[in-house]
Amino acid sequence: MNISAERLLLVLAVAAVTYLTRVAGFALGDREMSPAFDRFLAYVPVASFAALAIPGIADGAGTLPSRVIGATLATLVVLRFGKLWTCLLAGMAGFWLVGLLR
Amino acid sequence: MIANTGRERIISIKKARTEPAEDRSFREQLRRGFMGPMPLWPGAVPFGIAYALVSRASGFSGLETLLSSLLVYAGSAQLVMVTLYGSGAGLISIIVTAAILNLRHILYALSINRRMRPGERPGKAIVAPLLTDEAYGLTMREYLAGRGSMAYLLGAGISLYVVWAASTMGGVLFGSLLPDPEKLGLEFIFPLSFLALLLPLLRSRVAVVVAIVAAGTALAVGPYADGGVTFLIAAVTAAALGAALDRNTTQEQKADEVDA
Repeated sequence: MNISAERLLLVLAVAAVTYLTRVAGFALGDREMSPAFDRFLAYVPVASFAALAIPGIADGAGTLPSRVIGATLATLVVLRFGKLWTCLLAGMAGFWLVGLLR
Repeated sequence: MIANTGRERIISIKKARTEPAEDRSFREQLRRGFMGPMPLWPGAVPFGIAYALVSRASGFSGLETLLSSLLVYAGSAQLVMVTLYGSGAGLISIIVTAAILNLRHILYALSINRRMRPGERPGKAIVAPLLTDEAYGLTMREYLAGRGSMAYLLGAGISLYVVWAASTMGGVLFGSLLPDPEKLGLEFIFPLSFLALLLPLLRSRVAVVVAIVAAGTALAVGPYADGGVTFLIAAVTAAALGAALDRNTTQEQKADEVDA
Protein backbone atom coordinates (compact mmCIF):
# COMPACT_ATOMS: atom_id res chain seq x y z
CA MET A 1 0.00 0.00 0.00
CA ASN A 2 1.44 3.31 -1.04
CA ILE A 3 0.55 6.96 -0.67
CA SER A 4 1.08 9.62 -3.30
CA ALA A 5 1.64 13.19 -2.12
CA GLU A 6 -0.90 14.47 -4.65
CA ARG A 7 -3.70 12.12 -3.63
CA LEU A 8 -2.98 12.63 0.08
CA LEU A 9 -3.21 16.39 -0.45
CA LEU A 10 -6.51 15.91 -2.28
CA VAL A 11 -7.97 13.76 0.51
CA LEU A 12 -6.86 16.26 3.17
CA ALA A 13 -8.31 19.21 1.23
CA VAL A 14 -11.65 17.48 0.64
CA ALA A 15 -11.74 16.50 4.32
CA ALA A 16 -11.11 20.14 5.27
CA VAL A 17 -13.86 21.62 3.05
CA THR A 18 -16.27 18.90 4.21
CA TYR A 19 -15.58 19.73 7.84
CA LEU A 20 -15.96 23.47 7.14
CA THR A 21 -19.41 23.01 5.57
CA ARG A 22 -20.47 20.88 8.53
CA VAL A 23 -19.27 23.27 11.22
CA ALA A 24 -20.34 26.46 9.39
CA GLY A 25 -24.06 25.94 9.98
CA PHE A 26 -23.50 25.44 13.70
CA ALA A 27 -21.36 28.57 13.85
CA LEU A 28 -23.87 30.66 11.87
CA GLY A 29 -26.79 29.32 13.86
CA ASP A 30 -25.92 31.30 16.99
CA ARG A 31 -26.83 34.59 15.38
CA GLU A 32 -30.19 36.19 15.95
CA MET A 33 -32.55 35.00 13.22
CA SER A 34 -35.43 36.76 11.54
CA PRO A 35 -38.85 35.13 12.03
CA ALA A 36 -38.98 34.39 8.31
CA PHE A 37 -35.65 32.52 8.39
CA ASP A 38 -36.81 30.66 11.48
CA ARG A 39 -39.95 29.54 9.62
CA PHE A 40 -37.71 28.51 6.71
CA LEU A 41 -35.59 26.33 9.02
CA ALA A 42 -38.74 24.79 10.50
CA TYR A 43 -39.53 23.33 7.07
CA VAL A 44 -35.99 22.10 6.34
CA PRO A 45 -36.64 18.60 7.77
CA VAL A 46 -39.79 17.99 5.67
CA ALA A 47 -38.16 19.44 2.55
CA SER A 48 -34.89 17.50 3.07
CA PHE A 49 -36.52 14.15 3.74
CA ALA A 50 -38.78 14.49 0.68
CA ALA A 51 -35.87 15.55 -1.55
CA LEU A 52 -33.82 12.54 -0.37
CA ALA A 53 -36.63 9.95 -0.41
CA ILE A 54 -38.67 10.48 -3.56
CA PRO A 55 -35.88 10.67 -6.20
CA GLY A 56 -34.31 7.57 -4.63
CA ILE A 57 -37.59 5.72 -5.09
CA ALA A 58 -38.45 7.06 -8.55
CA ASP A 59 -34.95 6.70 -9.98
CA GLY A 60 -33.25 3.35 -10.53
CA ALA A 61 -33.22 1.98 -14.02
CA GLY A 62 -35.33 -1.14 -14.52
CA THR A 63 -36.41 -1.59 -10.91
CA LEU A 64 -39.17 1.04 -10.73
CA PRO A 65 -42.03 -1.46 -10.06
CA SER A 66 -40.00 -3.06 -7.24
CA ARG A 67 -39.26 0.33 -5.76
CA VAL A 68 -42.84 1.58 -5.93
CA ILE A 69 -44.26 -1.60 -4.36
CA GLY A 70 -41.53 -1.59 -1.70
CA ALA A 71 -42.17 2.06 -0.88
CA THR A 72 -45.93 1.48 -0.71
CA LEU A 73 -45.49 -1.41 1.73
CA ALA A 74 -43.03 0.66 3.77
CA THR A 75 -45.57 3.52 3.91
CA LEU A 76 -48.35 1.26 5.18
CA VAL A 77 -46.06 -0.26 7.81
CA VAL A 78 -44.61 3.02 9.06
CA LEU A 79 -48.07 4.59 9.37
CA ARG A 80 -49.31 1.53 11.27
CA PHE A 81 -46.29 0.70 13.48
CA GLY A 82 -44.02 3.74 13.31
CA LYS A 83 -40.82 1.76 13.85
CA LEU A 84 -37.97 2.39 11.43
CA TRP A 85 -36.72 -1.18 11.16
CA THR A 86 -40.16 -2.71 10.47
CA CYS A 87 -40.67 -0.15 7.73
CA LEU A 88 -37.28 -0.92 6.14
CA LEU A 89 -37.91 -4.66 6.39
CA ALA A 90 -41.33 -4.37 4.73
CA GLY A 91 -39.94 -2.10 2.02
CA MET A 92 -37.03 -4.40 1.20
CA ALA A 93 -39.31 -7.47 1.30
CA GLY A 94 -41.63 -5.84 -1.23
CA PHE A 95 -38.67 -4.76 -3.35
CA TRP A 96 -37.13 -8.26 -3.45
CA LEU A 97 -40.45 -10.05 -3.94
CA VAL A 98 -41.34 -8.02 -7.03
CA GLY A 99 -37.79 -8.56 -8.29
CA LEU A 100 -38.22 -12.35 -7.96
CA LEU A 101 -41.64 -12.40 -9.59
CA ARG A 102 -40.68 -10.35 -12.61
CA MET B 1 -36.19 43.52 36.88
CA ILE B 2 -36.86 41.86 40.24
CA ALA B 3 -39.14 39.30 38.62
CA ASN B 4 -36.49 38.53 36.06
CA THR B 5 -33.77 37.92 38.63
CA GLY B 6 -36.11 35.66 40.55
CA ARG B 7 -36.86 33.62 37.48
CA GLU B 8 -33.19 33.30 36.66
CA ARG B 9 -32.47 32.05 40.15
CA ILE B 10 -35.18 29.41 39.87
CA ILE B 11 -33.77 28.29 36.53
CA SER B 12 -30.25 28.04 37.94
CA ILE B 13 -31.48 26.01 40.93
CA LYS B 14 -33.32 23.67 38.58
CA LYS B 15 -30.18 23.29 36.49
CA ALA B 16 -28.00 22.45 39.47
CA ARG B 17 -30.48 19.84 40.61
CA THR B 18 -30.71 18.07 37.29
CA GLU B 19 -26.98 17.91 36.58
CA PRO B 20 -26.30 14.34 37.83
CA ALA B 21 -29.40 13.10 36.01
CA GLU B 22 -28.13 14.81 32.87
CA ASP B 23 -24.90 12.85 33.15
CA ARG B 24 -26.76 9.57 33.23
CA SER B 25 -28.99 10.66 30.42
CA PHE B 26 -25.92 11.65 28.37
CA ARG B 27 -24.74 8.04 28.31
CA GLU B 28 -28.28 6.82 27.70
CA GLN B 29 -28.72 9.26 24.79
CA LEU B 30 -25.33 8.26 23.38
CA ARG B 31 -26.34 4.61 23.53
CA ARG B 32 -29.73 5.28 21.91
CA GLY B 33 -27.99 7.33 19.25
CA PHE B 34 -25.63 4.46 18.49
CA MET B 35 -28.55 2.01 18.19
CA GLY B 36 -30.69 4.37 16.10
CA PRO B 37 -28.95 3.83 12.74
CA MET B 38 -28.63 0.02 13.13
CA PRO B 39 -31.50 -0.64 10.69
CA LEU B 40 -29.46 1.37 8.14
CA TRP B 41 -26.27 -0.66 8.54
CA PRO B 42 -27.24 -3.23 5.87
CA GLY B 43 -27.53 -0.33 3.42
CA ALA B 44 -24.29 1.35 4.49
CA VAL B 45 -22.11 -1.76 4.15
CA PRO B 46 -22.62 -2.33 0.39
CA PHE B 47 -22.16 1.42 -0.17
CA GLY B 48 -18.81 1.36 1.66
CA ILE B 49 -17.67 -1.69 -0.29
CA ALA B 50 -18.77 -0.16 -3.59
CA TYR B 51 -16.91 3.05 -2.70
CA ALA B 52 -13.72 1.09 -2.03
CA LEU B 53 -13.99 -0.65 -5.41
CA VAL B 54 -14.55 2.61 -7.32
CA SER B 55 -11.72 4.28 -5.40
CA ARG B 56 -9.26 1.49 -6.18
CA ALA B 57 -10.32 1.50 -9.83
CA SER B 58 -9.72 5.29 -9.94
CA GLY B 59 -6.08 4.89 -8.97
CA PHE B 60 -6.25 5.34 -5.19
CA SER B 61 -4.22 2.88 -3.13
CA GLY B 62 -5.89 0.81 -0.42
CA LEU B 63 -4.44 3.02 2.30
CA GLU B 64 -5.56 6.22 0.56
CA THR B 65 -9.05 4.77 0.13
CA LEU B 66 -9.30 3.94 3.83
CA LEU B 67 -7.83 7.32 4.84
CA SER B 68 -10.45 9.14 2.78
CA SER B 69 -13.28 7.30 4.55
CA LEU B 70 -11.69 8.02 7.95
CA LEU B 71 -10.95 11.70 7.28
CA VAL B 72 -13.67 12.87 4.87
CA TYR B 73 -16.57 10.64 5.97
CA ALA B 74 -19.01 11.82 3.30
CA GLY B 75 -20.02 9.10 0.87
CA SER B 76 -21.19 11.22 -2.03
CA ALA B 77 -18.28 13.69 -1.81
CA GLN B 78 -15.79 10.80 -1.65
CA LEU B 79 -17.34 9.07 -4.66
CA VAL B 80 -17.21 12.27 -6.67
CA MET B 81 -13.62 12.90 -5.54
CA VAL B 82 -12.26 9.54 -6.69
CA THR B 83 -14.36 9.44 -9.87
CA LEU B 84 -13.23 12.92 -10.97
CA TYR B 85 -9.61 12.13 -10.06
CA GLY B 86 -9.80 8.93 -12.08
CA SER B 87 -11.08 10.86 -15.08
CA GLY B 88 -8.10 13.25 -14.88
CA ALA B 89 -9.80 16.35 -13.42
CA GLY B 90 -7.69 19.04 -11.75
CA LEU B 91 -7.35 19.07 -7.96
CA ILE B 92 -8.93 22.51 -7.53
CA SER B 93 -12.02 21.60 -9.55
CA ILE B 94 -12.42 18.39 -7.51
CA ILE B 95 -12.15 20.27 -4.21
CA VAL B 96 -14.67 22.92 -5.34
CA THR B 97 -17.11 20.25 -6.54
CA ALA B 98 -16.83 18.42 -3.21
CA ALA B 99 -17.45 21.67 -1.33
CA ILE B 100 -20.60 22.40 -3.38
CA LEU B 101 -21.85 18.84 -2.83
CA ASN B 102 -21.39 19.35 0.89
CA LEU B 103 -23.19 22.69 1.16
CA ARG B 104 -26.32 20.87 2.30
CA HIS B 105 -24.58 20.24 5.63
CA ILE B 106 -24.91 23.96 6.38
CA LEU B 107 -28.67 23.55 6.14
CA TYR B 108 -28.61 20.50 8.41
CA ALA B 109 -26.45 22.18 11.06
CA LEU B 110 -28.62 25.33 11.05
CA SER B 111 -31.69 23.15 11.39
CA ILE B 112 -30.25 21.19 14.34
CA ASN B 113 -28.77 24.31 15.92
CA ARG B 114 -32.29 25.76 16.05
CA ARG B 115 -33.41 22.83 18.20
CA MET B 116 -30.45 22.29 20.50
CA ARG B 117 -30.53 23.66 24.02
CA PRO B 118 -27.90 26.21 24.99
CA GLY B 119 -24.78 24.68 26.48
CA GLU B 120 -25.67 21.16 25.36
CA ARG B 121 -22.80 18.69 25.39
CA PRO B 122 -20.93 17.55 23.35
CA GLY B 123 -19.95 20.78 21.62
CA LYS B 124 -20.70 21.61 18.03
CA ALA B 125 -17.09 21.23 16.87
CA ILE B 126 -17.12 17.61 18.07
CA VAL B 127 -20.39 16.50 16.47
CA ALA B 128 -19.89 18.54 13.28
CA PRO B 129 -17.62 16.01 11.48
CA LEU B 130 -20.24 13.30 12.11
CA LEU B 131 -23.12 15.21 10.50
CA THR B 132 -24.35 13.08 7.59
CA ASP B 133 -27.74 12.85 5.84
CA GLU B 134 -28.68 9.83 7.94
CA ALA B 135 -27.39 11.15 11.28
CA TYR B 136 -29.24 14.41 10.63
CA GLY B 137 -32.47 12.62 9.74
CA LEU B 138 -32.49 10.36 12.79
CA THR B 139 -31.45 13.13 15.20
CA MET B 140 -34.06 15.51 13.81
CA ARG B 141 -36.72 12.85 14.27
CA GLU B 142 -35.69 12.70 17.94
CA TYR B 143 -35.77 16.49 18.33
CA LEU B 144 -39.21 16.68 16.69
CA ALA B 145 -40.44 14.04 19.14
CA GLY B 146 -39.12 16.20 21.99
CA ARG B 147 -36.25 13.91 23.01
CA GLY B 148 -33.42 14.91 20.68
CA SER B 149 -29.94 15.77 21.91
CA MET B 150 -26.40 16.36 20.75
CA ALA B 151 -25.45 13.15 22.57
CA TYR B 152 -27.88 11.27 20.33
CA LEU B 153 -26.28 12.90 17.27
CA LEU B 154 -22.83 11.91 18.54
CA GLY B 155 -23.95 8.30 19.06
CA ALA B 156 -25.64 8.06 15.66
CA GLY B 157 -22.62 9.66 14.01
CA ILE B 158 -20.17 7.23 15.63
CA SER B 159 -22.40 4.28 14.72
CA LEU B 160 -22.47 5.22 11.04
CA TYR B 161 -18.79 6.22 11.03
CA VAL B 162 -17.67 2.82 12.32
CA VAL B 163 -19.76 0.99 9.71
CA TRP B 164 -18.53 3.28 6.92
CA ALA B 165 -14.87 2.81 7.89
CA ALA B 166 -15.22 -0.95 8.41
CA SER B 167 -17.04 -1.53 5.13
CA THR B 168 -14.49 0.57 3.24
CA MET B 169 -11.78 -1.58 4.84
CA GLY B 170 -13.71 -4.71 3.87
CA GLY B 171 -14.00 -3.48 0.30
CA VAL B 172 -10.27 -2.71 0.14
CA LEU B 173 -9.27 -6.12 1.47
CA PHE B 174 -11.86 -8.43 -0.07
CA GLY B 175 -13.58 -6.28 -2.70
CA SER B 176 -12.91 -8.51 -5.67
CA LEU B 177 -14.11 -11.63 -3.80
CA LEU B 178 -17.49 -10.20 -2.77
CA PRO B 179 -20.67 -10.47 -4.87
CA ASP B 180 -21.72 -7.28 -6.63
CA PRO B 181 -23.41 -5.27 -3.85
CA GLU B 182 -25.66 -3.49 -6.32
CA LYS B 183 -27.37 -6.75 -7.30
CA LEU B 184 -28.98 -7.04 -3.86
CA GLY B 185 -30.47 -3.56 -4.17
CA LEU B 186 -29.61 -2.76 -0.55
CA GLU B 187 -29.01 0.88 -1.45
CA PHE B 188 -32.82 1.11 -1.57
CA ILE B 189 -32.69 1.21 2.25
CA PHE B 190 -31.65 4.89 2.13
CA PRO B 191 -34.64 6.36 0.26
CA LEU B 192 -36.90 4.07 2.31
CA SER B 193 -35.47 5.39 5.56
CA PHE B 194 -36.03 9.00 4.53
CA LEU B 195 -39.57 8.08 3.48
CA ALA B 196 -40.10 6.67 6.99
CA LEU B 197 -38.77 9.93 8.48
CA LEU B 198 -40.90 12.06 6.13
CA LEU B 199 -44.36 10.48 6.53
CA PRO B 200 -44.96 11.31 10.21
CA LEU B 201 -44.19 14.98 9.48
CA LEU B 202 -46.97 15.35 6.89
CA ARG B 203 -49.54 16.61 9.38
CA SER B 204 -50.37 20.02 7.97
CA ARG B 205 -51.39 21.17 4.52
CA VAL B 206 -48.28 23.35 4.28
CA ALA B 207 -46.02 20.41 5.18
CA VAL B 208 -47.61 18.28 2.44
CA VAL B 209 -47.16 21.07 -0.11
CA VAL B 210 -43.52 21.51 0.96
CA ALA B 211 -42.86 17.77 0.56
CA ILE B 212 -44.50 17.62 -2.87
CA VAL B 213 -42.59 20.67 -4.10
CA ALA B 214 -39.28 19.32 -2.72
CA ALA B 215 -39.81 15.94 -4.39
CA GLY B 216 -41.01 17.47 -7.66
CA THR B 217 -38.13 19.93 -7.84
CA ALA B 218 -35.59 17.20 -7.08
CA LEU B 219 -37.05 15.02 -9.85
CA ALA B 220 -37.13 17.92 -12.32
CA VAL B 221 -33.61 19.21 -11.60
CA GLY B 222 -32.04 15.77 -11.09
CA PRO B 223 -31.17 15.03 -14.73
CA TYR B 224 -29.34 18.36 -15.10
CA ALA B 225 -27.27 18.66 -11.92
CA ASP B 226 -25.16 16.79 -9.38
CA GLY B 227 -26.98 15.03 -6.55
CA GLY B 228 -25.86 17.51 -3.91
CA VAL B 229 -26.77 20.54 -6.01
CA THR B 230 -30.15 19.03 -6.91
CA PHE B 231 -30.86 18.40 -3.26
CA LEU B 232 -29.87 21.93 -2.28
CA ILE B 233 -32.10 23.56 -4.92
CA ALA B 234 -35.06 21.32 -4.03
CA ALA B 235 -34.77 21.65 -0.24
CA VAL B 236 -34.17 25.42 -0.22
CA THR B 237 -37.00 26.12 -2.70
CA ALA B 238 -39.50 23.96 -0.82
CA ALA B 239 -38.57 25.20 2.68
CA ALA B 240 -38.73 28.82 1.47
CA LEU B 241 -42.19 28.16 0.03
CA GLY B 242 -43.18 26.62 3.37
CA ALA B 243 -41.99 29.73 5.20
CA ALA B 244 -44.00 31.97 2.84
CA LEU B 245 -47.18 29.89 3.07
CA ASP B 246 -46.82 29.57 6.81
CA ARG B 247 -47.07 33.34 7.28
CA ASN B 248 -50.72 33.05 6.28
CA THR B 249 -51.64 30.38 8.81
CA THR B 250 -52.38 31.41 12.36
CA GLN B 251 -49.53 31.84 14.81
CA GLU B 252 -50.63 29.13 17.28
CA GLN B 253 -51.19 26.53 14.60
CA LYS B 254 -47.79 27.11 13.09
CA ALA B 255 -45.35 25.71 15.65
CA ASP B 256 -47.53 22.74 16.58
CA GLU B 257 -48.08 21.66 13.03
CA VAL B 258 -44.43 21.63 12.12
CA ASP B 259 -43.27 20.05 15.36
CA ALA B 260 -45.96 17.39 15.58
